[in-house]
Amino acid sequence: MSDQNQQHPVEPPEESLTRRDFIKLGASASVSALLLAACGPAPAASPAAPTQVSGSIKQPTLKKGGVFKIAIIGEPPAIADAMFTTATVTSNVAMQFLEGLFTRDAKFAPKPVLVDQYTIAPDGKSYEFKLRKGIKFHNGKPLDSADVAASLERWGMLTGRGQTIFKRLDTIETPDAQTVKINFKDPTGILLDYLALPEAFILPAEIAKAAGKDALKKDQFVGTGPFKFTEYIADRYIRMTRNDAYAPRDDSPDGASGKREAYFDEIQFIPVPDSSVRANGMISGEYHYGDSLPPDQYDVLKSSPGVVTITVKPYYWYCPHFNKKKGLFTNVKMRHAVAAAINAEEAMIAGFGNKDFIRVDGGINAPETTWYSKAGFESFNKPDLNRAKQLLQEAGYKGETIRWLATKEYDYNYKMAEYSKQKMEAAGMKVELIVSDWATLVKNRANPDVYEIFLTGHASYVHPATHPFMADSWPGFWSSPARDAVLNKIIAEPDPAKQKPLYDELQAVVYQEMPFVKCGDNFLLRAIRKDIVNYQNIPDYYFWNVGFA
Amino acid sequence: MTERAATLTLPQLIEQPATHRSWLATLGRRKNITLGGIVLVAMIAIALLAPLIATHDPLKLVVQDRLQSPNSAHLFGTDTQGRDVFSRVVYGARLSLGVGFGVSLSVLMVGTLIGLLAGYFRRLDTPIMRVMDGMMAFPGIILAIAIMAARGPKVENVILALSIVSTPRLARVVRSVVLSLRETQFIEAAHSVGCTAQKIIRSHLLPNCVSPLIVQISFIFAEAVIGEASLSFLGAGAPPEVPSWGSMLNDSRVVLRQAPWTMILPGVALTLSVFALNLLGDGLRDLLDPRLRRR
Amino acid sequence: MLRYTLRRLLLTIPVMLLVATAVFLLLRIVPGDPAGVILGSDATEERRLELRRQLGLEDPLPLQYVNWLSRIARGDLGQSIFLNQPVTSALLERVQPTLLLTLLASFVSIAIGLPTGIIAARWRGSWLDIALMGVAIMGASIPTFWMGLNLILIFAVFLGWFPVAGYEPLEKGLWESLRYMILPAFTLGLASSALLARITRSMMLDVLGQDYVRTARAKGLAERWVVLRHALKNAFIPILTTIGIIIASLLGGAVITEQIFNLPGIGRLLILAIGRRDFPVVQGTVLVIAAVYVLINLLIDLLYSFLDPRIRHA
Repeated sequence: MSDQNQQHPVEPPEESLTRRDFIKLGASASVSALLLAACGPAPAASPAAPTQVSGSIKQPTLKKGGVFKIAIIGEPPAIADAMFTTATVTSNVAMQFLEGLFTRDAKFAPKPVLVDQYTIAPDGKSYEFKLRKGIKFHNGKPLDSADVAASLERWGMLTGRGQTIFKRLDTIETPDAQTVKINFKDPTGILLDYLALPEAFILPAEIAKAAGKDALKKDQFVGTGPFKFTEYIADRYIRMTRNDAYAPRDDSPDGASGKREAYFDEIQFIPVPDSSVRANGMISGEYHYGDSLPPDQYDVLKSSPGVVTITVKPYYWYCPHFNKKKGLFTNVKMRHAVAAAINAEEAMIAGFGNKDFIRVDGGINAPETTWYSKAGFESFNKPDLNRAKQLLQEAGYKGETIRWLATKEYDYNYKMAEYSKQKMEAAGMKVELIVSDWATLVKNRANPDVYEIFLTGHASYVHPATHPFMADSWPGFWSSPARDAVLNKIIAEPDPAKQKPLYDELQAVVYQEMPFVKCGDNFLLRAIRKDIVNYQNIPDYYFWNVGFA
Repeated sequence: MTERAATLTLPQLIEQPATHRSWLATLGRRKNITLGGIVLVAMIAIALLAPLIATHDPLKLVVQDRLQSPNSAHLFGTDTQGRDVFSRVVYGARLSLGVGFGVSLSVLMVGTLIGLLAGYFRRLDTPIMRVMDGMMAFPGIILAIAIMAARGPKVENVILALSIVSTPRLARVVRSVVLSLRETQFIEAAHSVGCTAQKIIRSHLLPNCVSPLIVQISFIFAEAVIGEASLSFLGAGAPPEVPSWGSMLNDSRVVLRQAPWTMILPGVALTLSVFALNLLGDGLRDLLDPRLRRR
Repeated sequence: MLRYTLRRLLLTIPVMLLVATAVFLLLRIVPGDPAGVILGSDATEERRLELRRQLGLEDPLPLQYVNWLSRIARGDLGQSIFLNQPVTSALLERVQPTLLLTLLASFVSIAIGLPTGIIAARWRGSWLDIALMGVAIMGASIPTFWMGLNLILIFAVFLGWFPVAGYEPLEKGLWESLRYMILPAFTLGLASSALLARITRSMMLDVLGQDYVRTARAKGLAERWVVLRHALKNAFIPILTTIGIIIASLLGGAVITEQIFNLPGIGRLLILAIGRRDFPVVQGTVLVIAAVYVLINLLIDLLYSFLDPRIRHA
């Protein structure tokens, strides 16, 4: 159920946008960092029709009303408490009714939501946010700075990113009801990127304090968003209704940022764990939106009259992680030997079948993002059996069994392992696949005594410092002074333009130390019914500004 | 027998003897054994001779051949990984029947032993039968899934899990036969001439259990075949690389629309095997059940 | 009778205790971590361990066991780990789909099985009898999940008459709800209708051999009346019992059907809860299912002993 993280990718709509434009846009967004930036309406590209969508979408004439049914991949852990869990399916649900200080535009750059204007001190040691006026929670209470402070405290307790920020934090000040000031001990640069993620949402202070480290209960889901949380029955649905008291921004929509206006009377998130049922339900019209559909159904869906397919790009990338704490793969030569044994393209095809949904690329972030780097590519996807054998010999490998944790709960997971095993054995390694369900795998991979390799996926559209393997304790146990040195520089750099060369440095370390073998990117298949207009194809979907034709 | 109805399970209910039957029906019953036997023997032959019958390597992934409809190279088409459906079904017989035999054998040994102990030794009866009651109250498929989750996807674990689920029922049948004989005069006579419990059980009680055992085992065999397929269907069965009818059916769900052939042959093979075993069980019961012979 | 009933009731206590202990122990040897499942793949190790402590999963086993048992004794099934709500309320939310499925499936099985059995008995030995019983054995041999796939393929995918899967509660209207339930009900009901047909037939034949039936025939009553008035009336109680047992077994069979049709019932809850390692939910649900099973069996027993006093004193 829970590798749900693997299942939701993102797509910046503009195909016409070149990478250079892209970086420029990203950079211009970050100029704001220098001085005081009035973050008013972003004049960014208007939300053109999603490019990766089959068939044409008519120009929107939106109607208010209707019930919109979304088939999601399973019951979201912790319902919609995206601070509590890292599961993407949960944050997707949360985003529809819980808002943060910032969100991300179509290029994944932070843009304000609850914040009206903000200033960043040139030394990067203090951030001042002015909240928008007239915002009310779904329970009628007006939003003020105390709510923000309390919610951020909870975020700092529960999330990995929050903990990173709070370690550097000096104080959070609330000089008046509309002002929040965050002061750091050291220069800190990634705050806005972090606050723009769905996990950093704002709750009423009393709820944030009451919940503390517990997951939110169903009566505690009170936000400020264009939809409000109405009803929850586990394994049946989460119902949200339109928040008619919502006060939208007036800047034009761009990604999740800008003006938000709800059209549907009601949206229902229905957990449908079976991907074939989601696909069939899309064709029959049972659901209006289907998340994570089997690529095998691509042609069938595309040729179904009422259905529009959506290819979400970028989404996730996949790699086997080595256990670097104990055993064979503490030796970096062993890791390079496995990398030399595997053909990245073949591994991705084995895992995902349809070629339209994969991309062989070595970056730890997608080319569509400002964080993309080609550093270290000389070591990416250079399958060479002889070199693998030679490296094994140099590493002193004597045919010890390599235990690979795999699960069939995620199809690609087992299939990629099965493929890699064949290749590694051809190079002379002895591989044993240990197949279990996800709940067992997630426990075993945390125990350095029981495995050598496990495989998982990572979002390619999040800030590189955010990847979970950047923490020493995360399964695989990559601890590296070289990495930490670069990472600290990135986190301390308030100017995104100056961060850029650091991404190269970071990725170079990855390819030297080879903590995992990146194979490639996978794009997600989603579908929407044809009578829905103005849907924007981004990885973290949202359903405001969207409606029946 | 204090709680007779509690001992009733569906397969036992089928056992309710039919009294009247014309020569035609009797012949029909014998035909059951013949027909069931032939199909079963054919299945066993297919399982044993799988390498000769299969047209392709059941494990070989040929991704460019995926989802081919039935054609001369692939009589029943190919699956999502480009594997030959027919060859996988042929090899699948090995797992199905292997698990069926394994479960039957282990249930036969353990269940009979438990039933004899409970039926013969009054002091053991209550504790043993309460445990059996408890096991039967536990929903079978859930028990099997939990055991599989605990022990991992291995064929021997499938056999273990399904045996644990089926044992109580066989134990009950054996116990009830023993109970009904325990008070009869010839057992009392055996006691009085100083026969040991062991001897009484071996030479008097056990032979009387043979007929009901044969009947029960054919049903347990059938249930084990379905059980294995159900577990594999739910993804909690044999290791993923072993061809199994249940996991083939599960895989076919994703491509049901464009490749319905992936679900036809495995389903037919599964149904046919269970059908043969049920026929056999039915026929054997009519032939062997002492209650029937009396009539 | 009262004493017998009480004794039988008391006997269920050790059985339930046994089930409770077994499910508790079984789940503790299942590897896997509910905290890891809830927190998702990207969670930090520190958070995972912290949540384990918070959930009491790091407490010694005997303590966890005693805590759980004492809760149950007070009628509290505990708190779901994954769903963050009491197990009791999680169960109650799922009673409707399972109950509806079971009832409709019983209806299907009775509507098809009973007449088939009677007809086969009435014309025993004829080609019709043999054909019907052949079909019945075949029907009982089709695994529910294959039956389900076939029905979905034909009636939902090709013909489009019914939804592929899903559920609408009764509150949305009877027909709206039934549309979703028809395929699952047939999937589950057909196999047991085959079973019921065979049992009905043999019980009818039993009765038809009795003296009073022969007398009725000798009196020159039409065979139709003999079958319907005398035989059916007397075979009714055992057939009814059979139906009771079939209903109890349908509850268990609902697990796979709910899974195929994405019905948010108790069976699916159980499977999902095992995958999530939601120990309190698995324990509570198994306990409730076992209790229902034991009670139905108890009722059948009492019914028998009421009808046949010899059983009570055996």
